[in-house]
Amino acid sequence: MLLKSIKRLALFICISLVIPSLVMAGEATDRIKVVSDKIFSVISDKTLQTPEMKVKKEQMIMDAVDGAFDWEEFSKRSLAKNWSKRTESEKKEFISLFKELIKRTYMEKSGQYSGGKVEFLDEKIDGEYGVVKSQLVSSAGTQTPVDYRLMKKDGAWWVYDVYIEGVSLVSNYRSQFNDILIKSSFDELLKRLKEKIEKGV
Amino acid sequence: MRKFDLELSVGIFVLIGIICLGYISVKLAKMELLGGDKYEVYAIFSDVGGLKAGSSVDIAGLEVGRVSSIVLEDYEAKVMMSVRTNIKLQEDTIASIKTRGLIGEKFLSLTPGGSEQIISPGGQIRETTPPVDFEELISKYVFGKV
Repeated sequence: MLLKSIKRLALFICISLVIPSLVMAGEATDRIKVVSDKIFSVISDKTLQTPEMKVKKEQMIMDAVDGAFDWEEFSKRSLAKNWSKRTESEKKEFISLFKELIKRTYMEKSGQYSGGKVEFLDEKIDGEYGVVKSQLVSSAGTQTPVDYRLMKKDGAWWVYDVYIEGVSLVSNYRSQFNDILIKSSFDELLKRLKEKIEKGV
Repeated sequence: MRKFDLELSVGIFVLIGIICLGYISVKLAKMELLGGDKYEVYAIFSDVGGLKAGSSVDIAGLEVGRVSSIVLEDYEAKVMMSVRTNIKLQEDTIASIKTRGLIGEKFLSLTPGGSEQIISPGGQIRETTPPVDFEELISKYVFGKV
């Protein structure tokens, strides 16, 4: 009798531990899924393929990305220790330039898109932080692992870093920005970002 | 009395010798007897590619600690490291495994972040990058990516 009730209690504890994680399991992935579905629908939309529609198409993709990407966190993590030294207006300018730079870098790639899909492989949640592992499978069958790092802010999951083939976007920019800031000033960094955006990446 | 003096001085001499030997062995083996000025943090890597316990933990190329142990946990590598207490690690610090030169030893490089939150002792460095696998890179280049 006692054994039975202990077993039941153990089962109950197990279930109560598992259920919240199951409920949580989808949240972060869903967030990414919504964005990638939107992007795929925009890219594969035949009516948006014309050169006149290019700006609109890019805008639609960026709107989708903005829905889940925390650009301030991206910028903050990329500037690292230099972030706190900047004034509010400098931070704002940097965020918009950084966002534009990433947009330019990856928009070119989306132009080469010729069919494919995203597969969601795994999701790990640890408190306020989460990792969503996915892979981009091209129509030719090439698999590119893409991991999203998310953090929970005000009840919603926001992406703060993307790992493509194991290489972190934030880490890449952090070392580059740091090198520039050691050698020259913050204004020089902004200037370089602007040049890079104007030239096209 | 004189005999006693001689024995005592020989004893002291031998004792000093043993202490020196102990000190040298500890220094050479890079062991730590007193761990009071260090604290432990850990990081999870998908691949450590040759990093070993005792490998150095660097910030800006300077050693700030050492890898204390590496264990397999859920098919991933959990790297425990002890870092000097005066080194504060921000919550968004990135830990990456790098190689000294092309074929040198592996070490753990930490890139400090900008977060106001500091990782407390026993905490985790969440952002990690596995080492670059040159073999994989070369094979991708030589045989092409499928």
